[in-house]
Amino acid sequence: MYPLVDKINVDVMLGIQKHQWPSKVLIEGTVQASEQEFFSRHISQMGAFYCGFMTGTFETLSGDPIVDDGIDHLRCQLGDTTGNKKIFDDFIPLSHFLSPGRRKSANSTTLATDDSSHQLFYPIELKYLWEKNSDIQLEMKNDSDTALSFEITFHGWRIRQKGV
Amino acid sequence: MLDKCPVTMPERINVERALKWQPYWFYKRFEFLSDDMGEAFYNPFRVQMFLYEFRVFYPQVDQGNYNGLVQLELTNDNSDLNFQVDPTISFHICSWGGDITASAAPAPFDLKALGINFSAEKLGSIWKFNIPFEYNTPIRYKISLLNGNRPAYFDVMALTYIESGRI
Repeated sequence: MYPLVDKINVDVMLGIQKHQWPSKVLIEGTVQASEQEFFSRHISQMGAFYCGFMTGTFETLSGDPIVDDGIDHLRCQLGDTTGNKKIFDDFIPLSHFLSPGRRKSANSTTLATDDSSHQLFYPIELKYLWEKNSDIQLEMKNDSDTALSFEITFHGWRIRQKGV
Repeated sequence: MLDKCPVTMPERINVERALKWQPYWFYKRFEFLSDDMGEAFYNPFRVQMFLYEFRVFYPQVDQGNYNGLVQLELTNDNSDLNFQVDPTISFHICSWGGDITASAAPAPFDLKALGINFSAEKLGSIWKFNIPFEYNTPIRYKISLLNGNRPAYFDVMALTYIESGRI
């Protein structure tokens, strides 16, 4: 739909928005050094969440003192707790499916001279519907000797289902 | 297939239909020991999968001044569906994302012009397809380094969709 070409029918759109509206789900956390951890976000009773795209950032730190080595030490496997479905067959480096991707970190001891954060904004398509009362689940692995933070946003639509 | 996925406002999203298709991402890292490597992803489900996107990544070498060309071949053994890709067809690809250094621009790639019955389009350096493959059949890929320095490894991702309700 192109607003300057197509006529917007306000009543139709308002009718649809009663049942579905744009929504974003953020999962963020810190994976401890050399650890494997679960992170999840519950899709509430309010309705299903239909994801369209992903974006995200992560740190690339290691060493003592901590420096930003620019290497992606984080890998993840994405899943849906309903039926214990895996969406990734293996742990995939975050740099392969997230943009902006690497970001500068205040935890770096060389912050002033570290490269600027990667600025490319390129939402990655992930069309998947999480049902109400399910969980978006991330299993994260950190290969670094330093704890690393990440943030992943799932961009989509919340859908109110019958009976809610 | 995916054209039927309702994704944009103000269309009404059909929950049942959206539940039908589930993405499934294959990933593999392998050391690039020679200038010519072949691998495959096998469909582990007893239902048909559709190859949707294929991506190849490789790390920086030579201080980021990597000028080599990489050649990729995709083939599918499923001749019953007449979707076999001629293994002589290959195309140049770019690397993409993260700490990956861009290489040469992709060459034009038009399978329809070659008489092959599925579509492919380039989105940045990501290649899109709509190729079905059955249980226990592979999507084979072959990567050849044509020139330049040899990277230490390649990462390959195949994004597929499956009919989730039948798994």
